[in-house]
Amino acid sequence: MMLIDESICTGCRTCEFACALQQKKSFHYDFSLIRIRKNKAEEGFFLVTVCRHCPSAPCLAACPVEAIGKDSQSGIVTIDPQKCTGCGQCVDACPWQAPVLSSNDGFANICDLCKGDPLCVKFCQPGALRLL
Amino acid sequence: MYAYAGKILHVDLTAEKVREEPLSQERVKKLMGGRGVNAALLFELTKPGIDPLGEENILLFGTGALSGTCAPSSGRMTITAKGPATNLYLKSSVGGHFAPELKFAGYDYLVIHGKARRPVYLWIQDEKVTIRDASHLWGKDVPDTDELIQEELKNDRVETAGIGPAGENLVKFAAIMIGHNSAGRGGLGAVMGAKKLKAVAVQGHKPVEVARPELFKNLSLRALQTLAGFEGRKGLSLYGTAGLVPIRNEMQLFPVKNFQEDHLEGAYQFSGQYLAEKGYLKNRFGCSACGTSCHRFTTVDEGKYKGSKSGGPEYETVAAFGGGCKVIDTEAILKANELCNRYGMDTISTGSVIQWAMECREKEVLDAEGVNLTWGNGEAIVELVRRIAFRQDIGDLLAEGVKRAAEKVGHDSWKWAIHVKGLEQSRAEVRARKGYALALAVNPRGPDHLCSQVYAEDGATPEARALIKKICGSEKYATHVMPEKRGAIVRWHEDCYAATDALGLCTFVTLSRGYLIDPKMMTEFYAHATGTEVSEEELLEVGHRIVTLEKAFNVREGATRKDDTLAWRFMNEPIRSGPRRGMTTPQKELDLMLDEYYELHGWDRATGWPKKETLESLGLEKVAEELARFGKIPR
Amino acid sequence: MALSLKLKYFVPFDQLMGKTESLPVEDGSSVQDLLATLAAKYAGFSQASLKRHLIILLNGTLCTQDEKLSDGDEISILTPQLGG
Repeated sequence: MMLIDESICTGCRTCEFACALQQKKSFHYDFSLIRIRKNKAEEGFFLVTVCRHCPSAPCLAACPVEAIGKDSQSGIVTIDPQKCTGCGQCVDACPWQAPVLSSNDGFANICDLCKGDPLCVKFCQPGALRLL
Repeated sequence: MYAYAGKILHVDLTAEKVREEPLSQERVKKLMGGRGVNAALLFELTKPGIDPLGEENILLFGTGALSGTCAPSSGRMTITAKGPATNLYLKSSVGGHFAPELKFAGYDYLVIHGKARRPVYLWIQDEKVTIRDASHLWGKDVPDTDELIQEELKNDRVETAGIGPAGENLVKFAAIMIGHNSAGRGGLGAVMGAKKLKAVAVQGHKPVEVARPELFKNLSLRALQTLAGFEGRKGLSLYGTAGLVPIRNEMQLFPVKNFQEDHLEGAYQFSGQYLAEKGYLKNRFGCSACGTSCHRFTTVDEGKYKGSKSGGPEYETVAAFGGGCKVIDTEAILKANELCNRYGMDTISTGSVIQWAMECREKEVLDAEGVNLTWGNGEAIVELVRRIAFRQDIGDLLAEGVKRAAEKVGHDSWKWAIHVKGLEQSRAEVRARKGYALALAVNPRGPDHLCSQVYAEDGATPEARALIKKICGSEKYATHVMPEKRGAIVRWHEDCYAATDALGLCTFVTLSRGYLIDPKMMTEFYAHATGTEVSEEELLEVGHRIVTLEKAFNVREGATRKDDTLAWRFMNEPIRSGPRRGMTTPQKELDLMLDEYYELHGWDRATGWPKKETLESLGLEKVAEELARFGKIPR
Repeated sequence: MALSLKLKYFVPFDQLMGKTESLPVEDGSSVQDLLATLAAKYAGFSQASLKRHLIILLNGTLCTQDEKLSDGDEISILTPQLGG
């Protein structure tokens, strides 16, 4: 799973560009499955919104069409695009609201951990993103 | 078009008209991006002799060729105009996240023409441009303005470049702020204020495409490894630029009391190390794609300035307010920094003008009502920042900058007005650093605390010595107290810095102390981004062309060799103490360095004007014709 | 004959080695020899000294590692810093 330390995120957004490059081979924040935003409640700090592939994964139970699964070995959570209806329940269930509803087709997308070797972690110099 | 958005946006505030121009392949080939294209457009679209605060001046925002990608530290933007402080060419470089967003909005360049009739701000979203009323924003400080614009546009992803009261009040060193980052030098904020342009807000959805995504990714990772291998980067991350204070102080080359002294007991109390140790530092900020994140977020949680919070302070800020004014009061310095950021004012010039005023008081030629201008008075600095931004009392005099203020005050106060070409100088001791001195003297925009760094000249590391050997032919020139070969050293760095700025890279990853992303790697980034191969020679030639264009602008404005000079203090008053006691950089030495520098450039020795064949060899025939029209080609 | 030196350590070395130290070294020693002595004395310093990027001041001025030392010399050890 992903270990995130928001307190040391500097808002450089390199991870968003790395993810966009990985996902869509070009650069825009919208292509990224990790999102960095200013923390409005705490000035000077940032919020890191990305699927943590957490052990509890409340999104699984929340999905009405069982489109979300968790690999028993790798722990990676995935959303089946064939089954997803874009209802958004997974977003509500997730403590970080991590799933991204695509502006194109409306379906939910989450970080796939780059199949186990996440690029954002490689690019994160402050060390706010780590793979456990 | 790979890497580039492909368009220049022209906004005429007088006619309230908007026009798009394609970014031509030819322009890109000659000038690459950022600072380069800005310089060409400024030269082409203005006439000599215009008022920098008048309708005819233009204001250019130029993104780097690599901006909007994961190339390390690639989000730098150059803002260019004719400068109010110098009446010459002005560029200022700034970080933050504006450059990528301007590209996403569809434009590599934004050119502001004319002057609005009432306060306005620009809203540029996905190639749609609106000129919006800003009368409700006029008078507000920068953070409040940013917030109000986001609320009004119902869009919290907007990036803003704007001014505070200092720009509105035409302070000669008003800055354009991008969040906490400052395009500080030379009064660009006043140019914007004179145009009644409060802010430019951008947001867009057009992605930046690169020609070879996989190779670009691998190169970026390799570049990160290169950066991580240099010890100095850790210090930059941990302590920010203000981490430089203890080194300079220990070397007794840390300017104190308006360059009267070179060491300050207690300077540690405004160092980056101290700010981290004592908990003033709460977080670090990173510009676009920069994990080094040298920018600071500091707060004052107790005492007189409780509640103060801001981006920064940088080395130059603490050196100006702390060292320069001999103030050890950490919290007063943090407060002064905050106010400068809120009001949108350059901390280098603000600190410069205050220490000049303190020396005036010391020499009994100036006093201020209600402000005690004694050295070391932290409260005075904070009060003066306010008065300058709002042009109150002595603030009105100081808001004009040291050159004009000294002309008004008279006596001998020009002798301690530390500026070049009318722009206040940053805190570097140039009586002992000859290459740095030359670079400050010749820079077309006035002293440039980033692009004048020629650290290799001190031979402090094996890499530095190797570079000096490459440039000068021998390691014996790797010492900063010798004037010989400085022309060659400055020439090499100039071209690299210009290429850095054209690509949108931060000078801290290409040159500065580390020399990390070298010209070869820059060409690789450019090739993988755009699909166009360039050689190292071509890259440095682009840099050379940019530097020459900037010079040509000044020549057309009437600048000559006499403008490439240093403050009187550095040429006539020796360092008073420490291992470099007795040193000056006298006119004779400066002349030696200028002669070599001009020779290497192919410029006329007497006037500093570029020769016709020099301009033609760089493909600047039209520039040569234009200069000939004004009688500025040497015979 | 030993040379008596005054050493000043800056961040991050001061956390490991204290702020100052008086250290005798052999006559004829160079800065490089001194660094080797320090690396042997302080395990945490050996890494840094092996990295080429140290800023060494000899009596307040920058020096290279092959510089020869004299009795009473003051040596400051810092890491390079970027700034402006």
